[in-house]
Order: sequence, then structure tokens, then C-alpha cells
Amino acid sequence: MSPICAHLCSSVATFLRSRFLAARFETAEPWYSHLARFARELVDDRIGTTDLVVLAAILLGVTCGVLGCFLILRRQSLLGDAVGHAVLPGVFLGFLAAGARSTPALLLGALVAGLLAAALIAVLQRTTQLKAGECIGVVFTGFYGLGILLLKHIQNNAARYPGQAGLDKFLFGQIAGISATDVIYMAVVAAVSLACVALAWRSLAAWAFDEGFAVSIGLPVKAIETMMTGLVTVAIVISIQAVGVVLVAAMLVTPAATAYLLTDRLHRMVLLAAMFGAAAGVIGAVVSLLGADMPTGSLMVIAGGTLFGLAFLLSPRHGLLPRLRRVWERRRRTQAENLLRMLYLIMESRAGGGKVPDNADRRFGVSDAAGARGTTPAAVRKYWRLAAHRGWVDPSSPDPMILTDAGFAEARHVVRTHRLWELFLTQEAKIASDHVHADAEDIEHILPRDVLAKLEHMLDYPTADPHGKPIP
Amino acid sequence: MNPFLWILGSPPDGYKPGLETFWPILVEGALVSVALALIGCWLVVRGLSLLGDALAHSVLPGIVIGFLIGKSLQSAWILVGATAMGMAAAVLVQAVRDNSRVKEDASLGIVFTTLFAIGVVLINLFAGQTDLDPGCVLYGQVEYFIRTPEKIIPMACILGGILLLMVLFFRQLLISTFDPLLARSMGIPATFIHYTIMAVLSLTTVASFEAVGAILAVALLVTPGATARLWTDRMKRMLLLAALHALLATTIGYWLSHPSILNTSASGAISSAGFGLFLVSWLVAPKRGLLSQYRVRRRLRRTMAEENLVKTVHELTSPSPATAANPSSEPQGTETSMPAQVPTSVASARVRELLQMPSFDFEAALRGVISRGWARAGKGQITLTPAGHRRAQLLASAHELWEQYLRQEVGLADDHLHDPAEWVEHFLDESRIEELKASLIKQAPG
Repeated sequence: MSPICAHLCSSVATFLRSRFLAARFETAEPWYSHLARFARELVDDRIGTTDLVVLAAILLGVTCGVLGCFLILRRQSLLGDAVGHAVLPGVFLGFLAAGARSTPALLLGALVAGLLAAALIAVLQRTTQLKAGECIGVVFTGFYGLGILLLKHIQNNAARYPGQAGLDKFLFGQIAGISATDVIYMAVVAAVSLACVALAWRSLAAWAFDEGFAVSIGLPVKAIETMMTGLVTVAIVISIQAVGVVLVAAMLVTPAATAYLLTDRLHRMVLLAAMFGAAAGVIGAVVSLLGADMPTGSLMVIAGGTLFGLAFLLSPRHGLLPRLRRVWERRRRTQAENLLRMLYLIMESRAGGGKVPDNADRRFGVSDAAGARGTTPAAVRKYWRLAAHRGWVDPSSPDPMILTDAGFAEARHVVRTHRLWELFLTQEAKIASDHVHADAEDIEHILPRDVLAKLEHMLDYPTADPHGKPIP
Repeated sequence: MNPFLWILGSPPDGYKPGLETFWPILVEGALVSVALALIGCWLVVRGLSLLGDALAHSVLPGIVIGFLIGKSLQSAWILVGATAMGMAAAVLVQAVRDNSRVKEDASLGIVFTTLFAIGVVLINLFAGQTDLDPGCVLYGQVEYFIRTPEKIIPMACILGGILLLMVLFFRQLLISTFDPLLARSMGIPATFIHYTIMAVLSLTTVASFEAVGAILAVALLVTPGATARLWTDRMKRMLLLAALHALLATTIGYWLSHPSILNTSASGAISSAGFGLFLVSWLVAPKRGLLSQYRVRRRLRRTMAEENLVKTVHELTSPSPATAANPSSEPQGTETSMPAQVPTSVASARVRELLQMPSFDFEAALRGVISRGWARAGKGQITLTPAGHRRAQLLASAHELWEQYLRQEVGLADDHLHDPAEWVEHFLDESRIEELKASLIKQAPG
């Protein structure tokens, strides 16, 4: 991995130096005109349409993914949704103001409308008793309705507004028609957003996780919030051409939520969200280029949603299936341990209620065990299999069951934990001795050994539980 | 003409509604918007307004799948598919929220966008076989109802059903919404009510799809309820006001959208009109509106300025700090018993300096004080009337009592007492002062 990276970096650096420095020193043009020309040449010469589309998808995926992380952590995901819908009237007002489909005018209009909607939501929340959800719902549907009104007005009066064709692509997005200039805009916005996030990293982290803490250490929380709302709006604005206003919120929320399921560290979350955003964007863009006139935004959102679904099911720590599996494992282990404890109790009664000697008879009939436990022999046989799987009973002989050395030790440990916990509850927590059994029944399977040792020390190495039975 | 072709289909070519088409469209629009507004009210007070949004988006794939199964836009499968998909979305949102660390807002955002995207892609995939048009999914076509006035029958039935349910189970709805614990203790099945509302919501959304489209259905769901909330706190009044809002928005919106006015989408115009009504309510609603908030605040500020002025003049013209600090023991009619060396009037410039007020505000406050009969002014001098002195003493004793209350009951440090008391003194009237006095005496005898 790293040699390839190093090679790539050095070749890019050589390329840049040869083109950029040479040109700079040979002519008297200012440096930025070189940069602009370099970018244009790069885009024109070396990048075809497909590459442009992929580049655009990566740029918007990364920008939205990174910014979305903060929305997720601040629980403001729906602000993205609201601003996404609310930019629509701005697009068409931009069109009406410019009189033509010029990208800067449309995007500027969108930016203004998005910021206006965000501000309106904030003011409504401050000055009315409406909850955040209602303020968001009212503002975004209102703006969106205004957008539809303007769009249909423009379309129905096409004769009065030449050049209106394709305006409705802003609803669901169409990446195929994206131009090199659009991609340069997107690159600039992506660079600015990422730079803002990188420069304000520590403040952003504090603000995202604990606003009270951020205020108390003197961070300008209002300014941070305004900056992030602005960045989110800008990210939405550059994404609407490709994704469309209806679904742009998903590009902010879904990759970030996917990353949130996979890690507990903010920097990893941001990196993963950028990756998932880029992946969803590229998959959606490429698939939409395959089919004729497929809505790019919807495909990107489905790709992102699929990634989220996979993470939701399979994420090692937070995923549904691994968690269910852990619960299942725990239950099987509990069943096996309960069998061991019961066998130990049988041994105890054979020893006359006293301490069970190490060399006690470790053979038990299945029906004896079932009788003692009050279950069917079939259930006991199932528990026996679970115990045999763990090496606690001799796997070659189901009836009579034979406890192995490891099984004997485990059985003693479980009984010991159970009784020590009962003692702890009666002595330290002052709970009546007839109320402690059920609780100990649960704890005996999960109490770690070091805690057990501490408990024993705290109770001063007792020899009998509250019911008078010996603690092995 | 097949009426169901218009559910999601494109309009007949060259069709332009004229003024004579006004009534059927208005009736359909009113039915749809009132039905959505009534459900929306419950969503708003239950804090679920965005779940309605999610549901309205999520029914889309259900509609397309229903169409693909039934092979026809008339098929009942569309209704079944959409309602099932709406319920599935509600369950899925709950499942993602409960089974992962992703919070409710993000879980909503992910589920409904993904489902909606699936719907859009399905429409595009099968666009050749159907008249489905993603645009119409978004903004509906209430304009085409004129061709089939009988189409308003299903919507009328749905509205009737909603009204019936609401009248029959109003108490249960009310209790389970505002006091879930009480509802549980009374044996009202809260979960069942929740999912019933979701089912009714899905059904209504689907039925209103052809008129208003997905996202504008959300506008009609949230905005009337939110607007009504600005006007009232009573549930029945809120429902009435929301219905009224829906009717007004429909009328204004349809009029705006007419070819002779703006020539635009009726549903877009209807939800814009609804938003406009919301903004107007936000400005002018009694008590909650911005204007009345501003008025209250201004009146308060003016009263405080006037009272501060009276207090300052009183301090400057009172005989001594000792008596001023203990005004309750002072007899009425201070002016007559006042020693001669204390001035009875002060220069208004001096008072203004002490109060640090801009001259405009000061003049206004002075005028207010004079009109209340608390002071007389002339030749740059201010003289308090007996009523003014009484007022100032009342304020001082309120200040004193509040400081004592904070010290005794709240346990604030001595240097933290003055500022809150300076603020609260303006809000304590005579009966409150007596109450406070009595409670302080009772709390700390001797």
C-alpha cells in the first residue's frame, strides 16, 4: 500500500513541479492564473466525461460524509433534510434573476435560500413554543412548496422563460450533464469545507460531543454553529445538481450514520464517512451512467442505504447480528453452567450437605439430573451437549454424564459466585435472604473473576452463605 | 377516461382547467387538506410531525409495487402496498432506533430517503410500462379532478372516517397523547393507538397523493397544526383552527395557481399559501405572535423605566437613608413631615445621569410618570406627588423583601441579592408583597 502511495505522490509532485514552476518563472503572469489554467488543462486534457462524473461523485460524497458526521453527533440530521429541500426556490429565483441557466446564479440563489431557511428555523425555535421538528417541518415544506410553485410557473410559461429546459433535474439530480467548471466549483468547496473542519478540529470535537463543555472552556459556540450550518448549506448546494434536492439529505446522514456504527473514535468516523460517501456517490453515478436517464441521486442514496443496512446488521460491535449472536452465546453458556451448578448440588447432597471433596463421584444419571432440576431428560441432554462442547463433561458418555476436571472446577466456581453474591446482598446491601436467589442466579454467569476475588476479600473470606450452605 | 390513470400519470394533452372547474377542485382540495390537517394536529402534539414526513415519502415504493402486482392503476393493490409500506417504514424507523446507536432523527432520515429513492428508481425502471411520472409523485395534480367529480367520493369517505374515529375516541386520543402514564393506568392501548394513527396516516397520504403529491402532503400535515398551535392551547380549538387554515390555504392557493394568475402547480401554491398563513400567524397571533411579544416586552421595559425613575427621585428627595431603608415604618404623606433641608424636587438632568438612560427614553419615561400622576415636572425640575412617593416605597419594600427571601429561602450570598431583586421588584404587586411578608415572618419567627 504505502510504496504505491509514495510512488504516486512523488510522480504527482514531479508533474506539478515541471508544469507549474517552469511556467511560473518563465512568464510574468500571476501565480493564480497558472493555477486556474493548470486546473482547466488537467480537466480538459486528462479527464474524460466518465472521470468527471466519478470525480464529482467523490467530491460531493466526501464533503457530505465529513460534514454529516457532525450533524449525526449533534442529532441534527433533519436540519440537512430541511435545508436540502429549502434550497429549491433559491435555484429558480436564481434562474429568474439571471434570466438564463447559469450555474453560479442558480447556486448562489440556492445558497441564499438554504441559509435563510436555516436562520428561519432557528428564529422560530427561539420565538415560538413549537418543537424543533415542527419548525423544521413547516419551514422546509413551505420553502419546498414555493419551489414547486416557481418551477411549475416557469415550466407552464416556457415561452416567457427561454432556457428553462432541464431545471426540473434539480429535483432528482442528473450527474451526466456535469461540466468541468461545475467540478472545479465542487473541488474548491470541498477543499474549503475540509480545511475548515481540519483547522477547527479540536473545537468541533468538543462542540459535537458536549456543547456545555465547549461553552465552559470558552469556545465561540455560536460562531462554530453558524460556520457548520453554512458549510452544510454549501455542501448541499454543490450536491444538488448531481443528487437533487429531494434526497440530498441522505448523502449527509447515511454515510455518517454508517461510520457511526463502525467506530467510537471521531477521526475514524470522519474518515470512514468520507469513504462511504465517496463509495455511495461513485456507485450511484456509475450505475446511473449505465442506464439511460436514471436519476443519479436516487441510486446514490440506495447505495448509501445498502451500505448502512450492511453496517446495521454486521458491524462487529454495534451490529444487530453480532449482538444477537453474543446474546445467544451467553444464553447457551448460561444453560451449560446451570447444568454444572445443578450437578454440583447433587454432589453436595451426596456428601451429606457438607463440602464436596475433590475426589467425589462425578457420574450422574440423566434422569437423576432431570429430576433434581425439574426438567425433561431431553432438555438435560441438550444442556449436556452444550457442556460437552466446552469440555466440561466427558463427550463420549451422555448417560451417565461424567464431569471432567475442568467441569468440576467450573461448577465449583459458579456455585461459589452464586453464594458469595447472596451473602453480599444480605450483608452489604441489606436485602432479606429470601429475596437474593433470583439476582444471584443472573450474576453467577457474568461476574468476572477479579471482582469475585475482591468480593471475597470484602466479605472477609466467608465459609457459609446466608442459607447456611458452605461456600466451596 | 380512466380516472386512476391520473393518480400518478401525466395529464391529458392540451388540457387546461378554466374557471368553471373551480368548485370540484376546491372541494377535493379541501377534503384532502382538512383530512391531513386533522391527522397532522395529532402528530404535532405528539411530537411526531417528522414521522409523518417520513411516512409520506416511504409509501412511494409501495405504490409502485402495488401497481406492478395489480398491473393497473385502478388496482386495490396500490392502496394495500402503500399502506403496508408506510407501516413498514414506521416499524423500520423504530427498529433502527432501538437496535443501534443511531438516534431517532438519523434513523428517520435514512429509512425514508432510502425507501423514497427505491420508489423513484422503480418508477424509472418501469417508466415504459406505466404512466408513472416521478414529478407527479412530488407535486400531484388536483387540477384534473374536474373530469371525474365522482373521484372525490373516496376522499370524502376517508375524511368522514377520520372525523368519526376522532369523535368516538377523542378522550382516549387526548389522554394517550398528553398523559401516557394515566392512559396506561386506565387501560388505554397506547401502542395500538399509535399504530392506528400511522395506518390512517398512510391511507390518507396515499389517497391524497394524486391531489397533492408526497412532499406537499407533508406540508398540509404539519403546517396547519403548527399554525393552530400558535393561536391556542386547547385541542378542540386547535383542530378547528387547523381545518380552517387548511380551507383558507386551499382556496388562496388554488386561486393563485390559476392560469390567469400565476399559472402554476396548485399543490405548490396551496402549500406556499399555507406557509404564508403560518408566517402571518407567527407575526400577529395573540400572546404567542412576534408583535404581541414585542408589545409586552416594550410595555414592561417602559414600566421598568418609569418605576426606576420614580425610585431615583424618591431616594434623592427622601429625608435620610435610614428612613428610606425602612419604608414600611414610615407614615403616609412623607412630604409634610419632611425636614426642611431635604429638597422636594430634583433637576431632571441629574436623575437622567444617575439612571444612565438615553435622553429619548428618559423623556418618554418622564411623560409616562407624569401621566400616571406620580410626579410633576417644570423648569427642568421633577417633584414627586404623594402617589409617586407611595409607589417608590412599595418598590423599595418589594426589593427589600425579595432580597430577604433570597437570603433566607434560597440561601444566596449577600453580594448576589441586589440584581435579581432589582428585576423582581417591578413584578410584585401589593398582594404578593403581603404574601411574601407573611411567609417570611412565618418561616423565620423573631
